[in-house]
Amino acid sequence: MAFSAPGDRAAGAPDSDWDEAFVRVESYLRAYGLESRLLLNRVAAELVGEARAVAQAEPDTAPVTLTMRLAHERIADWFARASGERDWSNWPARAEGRLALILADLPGRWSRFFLSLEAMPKELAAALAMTEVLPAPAISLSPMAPEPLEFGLPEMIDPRRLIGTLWLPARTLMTWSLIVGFFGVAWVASH
Amino acid sequence: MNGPRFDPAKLDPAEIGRRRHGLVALVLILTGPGLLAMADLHWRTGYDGWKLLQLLIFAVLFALIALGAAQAWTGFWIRRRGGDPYRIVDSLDPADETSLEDVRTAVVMPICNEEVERVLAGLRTIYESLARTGRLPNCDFFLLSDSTDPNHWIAEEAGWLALTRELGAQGRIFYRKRLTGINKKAGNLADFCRRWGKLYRYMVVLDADSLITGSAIVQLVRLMERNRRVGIIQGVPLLVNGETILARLQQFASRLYGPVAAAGLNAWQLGEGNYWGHNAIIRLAPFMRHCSLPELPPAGPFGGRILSHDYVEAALMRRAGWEVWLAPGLEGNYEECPPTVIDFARRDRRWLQGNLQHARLIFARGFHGPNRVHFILGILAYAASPLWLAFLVVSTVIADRLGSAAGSAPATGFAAYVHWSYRTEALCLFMYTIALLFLPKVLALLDLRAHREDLAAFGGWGRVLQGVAVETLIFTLLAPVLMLFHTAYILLAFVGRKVSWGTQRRGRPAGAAWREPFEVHGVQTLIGLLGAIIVFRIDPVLGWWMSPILAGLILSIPLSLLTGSFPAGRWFREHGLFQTPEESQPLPEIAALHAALARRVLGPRPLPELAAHYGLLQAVLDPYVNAVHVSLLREKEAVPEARQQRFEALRTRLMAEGPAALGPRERVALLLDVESMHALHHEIWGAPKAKLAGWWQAALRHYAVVAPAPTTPFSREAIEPAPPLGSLS
Repeated sequence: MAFSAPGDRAAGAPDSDWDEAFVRVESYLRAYGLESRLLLNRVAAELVGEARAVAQAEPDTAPVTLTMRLAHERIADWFARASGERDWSNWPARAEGRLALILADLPGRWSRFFLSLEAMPKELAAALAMTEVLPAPAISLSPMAPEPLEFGLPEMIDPRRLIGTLWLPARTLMTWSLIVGFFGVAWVASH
Repeated sequence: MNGPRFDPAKLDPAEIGRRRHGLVALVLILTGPGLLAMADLHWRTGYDGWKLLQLLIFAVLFALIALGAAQAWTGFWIRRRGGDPYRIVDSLDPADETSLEDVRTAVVMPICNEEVERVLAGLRTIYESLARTGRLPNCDFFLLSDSTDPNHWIAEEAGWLALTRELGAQGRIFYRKRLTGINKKAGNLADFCRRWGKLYRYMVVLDADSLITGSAIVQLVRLMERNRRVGIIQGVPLLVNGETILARLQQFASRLYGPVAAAGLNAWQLGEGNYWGHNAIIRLAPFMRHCSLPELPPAGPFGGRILSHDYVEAALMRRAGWEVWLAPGLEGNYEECPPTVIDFARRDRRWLQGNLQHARLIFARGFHGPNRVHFILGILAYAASPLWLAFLVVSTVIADRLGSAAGSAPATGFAAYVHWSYRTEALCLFMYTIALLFLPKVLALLDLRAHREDLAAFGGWGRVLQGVAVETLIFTLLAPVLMLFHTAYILLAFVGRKVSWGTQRRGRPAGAAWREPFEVHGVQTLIGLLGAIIVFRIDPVLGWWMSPILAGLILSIPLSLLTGSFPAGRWFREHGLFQTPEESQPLPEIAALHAALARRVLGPRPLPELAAHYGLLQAVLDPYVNAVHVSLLREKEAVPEARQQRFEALRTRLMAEGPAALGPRERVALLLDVESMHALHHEIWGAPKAKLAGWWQAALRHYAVVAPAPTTPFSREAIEPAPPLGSLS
């Protein structure tokens, strides 16, 4: 879906509109990581030139919109050259293409080949075939039902759960009572 | 003799009982004299309701102090005798090199609006460390995001892909973002378990700031393989990477006192330890079967979803018959700590509400005694604050009521034998309390004598004693500040004010670093001043006794600013103050983490007007970020017409009015809609300026090759005539 509105008369658009289209398409290509001013300038100028020609047939489309549409088509053509017959014109395919570019490290390694007509290295063409990422393994669902909780005092003081044996708690309690008793006796004797 | 030194399966229940019994006996022995002395003081001046209340509070608080001392003593004793024979880490045969090929482990890191660079740098370090062990094929890594802030969310996605690409870790490091963060971190982990838990035998749970070496992960897996009745092994993470004075003090204190404390803790917990929520390994099958958290009955302020899940999961694991062990002695296990007092208090607020909720669980059927003790101690860790405050208030009231009568109190009771005046006896009780409070520190220092290598790594006795003195002074002053924080939080919890489970701020606080302490500590300063006036008017001697507490409150603002200062923290580090062995002799992983953080891409910061929605900007405009983002979204089969129209209307508003015109939910809804993300990318790039909000125009300029020409007096805009005055109105 293109963004257009009545009144954007491209054919007779002022130069400032074509300047805007030039800057926009240049910015867009730069967002792909192309830093070569020469390349950016050349491709942007070509696209604006083509858009001016097309504008005769589509006078109601804004120069920016027209130029960007052509830019997307140019990118789709380049993908088609790189990786076969697939239709690259729809949005999801374009997004997959861009993903392939980043997975192939286009900005870091291959930027000079982007949109270029020269022969593409095999390594790049192979890398561009990878258009998906695996964010997670295939889901293998398991149930996880919440554990029920019951509230009540009796079990809480089950000595077997506290210390493990029955005899020991008795001995333990005796020792603790002796300690407390000692302090108690000391208190009573002195007060 | 080779082979494992310890087999948990052969642990004698009677020995477990003896240890616990001994610890409680020691607590009673230590508590008794203090309690008797306090009771005696009141006896001399005659009992009333205030004094009974004070004695009751004193008994609880003093028993807690005694428990700390007894635990430290136990730990010290055990370490002096060559270490605990019952440590889970000693259950491994050092020569055991059994293949772990079939043992699949998931290393999971739940995150929520965390600093993305730090998270990814940590993950990279752990991944590379594990790769060096040669055990990587058995481990998968999961970044489990619950981030709600699009700036974090989008940065996570792009950062994740960049990291996996850089490490060649596609299909090894995974990223999952939940659509809704139901049940916070526990829900995040439960979601992982439901989706992928079946694929793995173990899960190593990390926090966003965790750092664990590959060999520690392998050791944990081996320990689980060796001990088939163990459900959870909790590591004892050391604190590292502190940058402020407070963070450095915490890591210094935890490193110095930690080994003795952990030994003491393990001595009575044994196979009934606790789970702290991260830096632990979990056996997934029983965890999934028995540890799914129920909701608490909704009544009261602490009903509903369980906030502090870890203690409860440990209790559920134990209830199902699986052991839970603490692993002192497991090396290569780290985490970071809050940088400022305010962050520290903020973290405590989250923990506090969760721990208070456990009051309901103390009485839940089927839990083991030690787990109930963990619940109680967790509650008391915070409930002690209002008790302490009540103790101070009641003490002041008693002093006021006594007036000068205390000085002439008869020498009855114990005083009849030792011939102490009232004040001397009170001073002795005070000294005894201080002695118990400081016993863990003293024991840790004595323990350090036997560990010469550690002592050298701390920088020698001079540095250690210097550190202990400053740490003691600062934490003494901070204790009343935290007391007031905790008390306020408890009151807020009781009136039903829920805590937002926000992100712990770990790095440098942005923006309001100066203003915040004034706002947060202002009331505390006033309380300190008011308290000082009241107490000194009642009894100047009491005032001097309380002066460390009052000083802490009065100085809370400068203290907070000073201890939270990054430059001061750096200065301390450069001068070797509060140095820890992890700083002087860092493991390669710590150095690697620092290197990774130093390497992080720090491009130009977004323009201030774009910063608030920078994630959205990138997800829409950047060709690569947009592609990654849509590739991670779920495509919907058939979208109803009404929904399509709604999204179209949102997109139109977003383009024409900018992101601020939409609510947070609307922005997130658009970010989650594949069709909208495709459409926005194409429509905004293809729209003429006149159709775009100023915000988008500025965003597009971001990518422009040519910067706008500088404005000079000769620029066209500058020489254009000003509009008539009337038009400006």
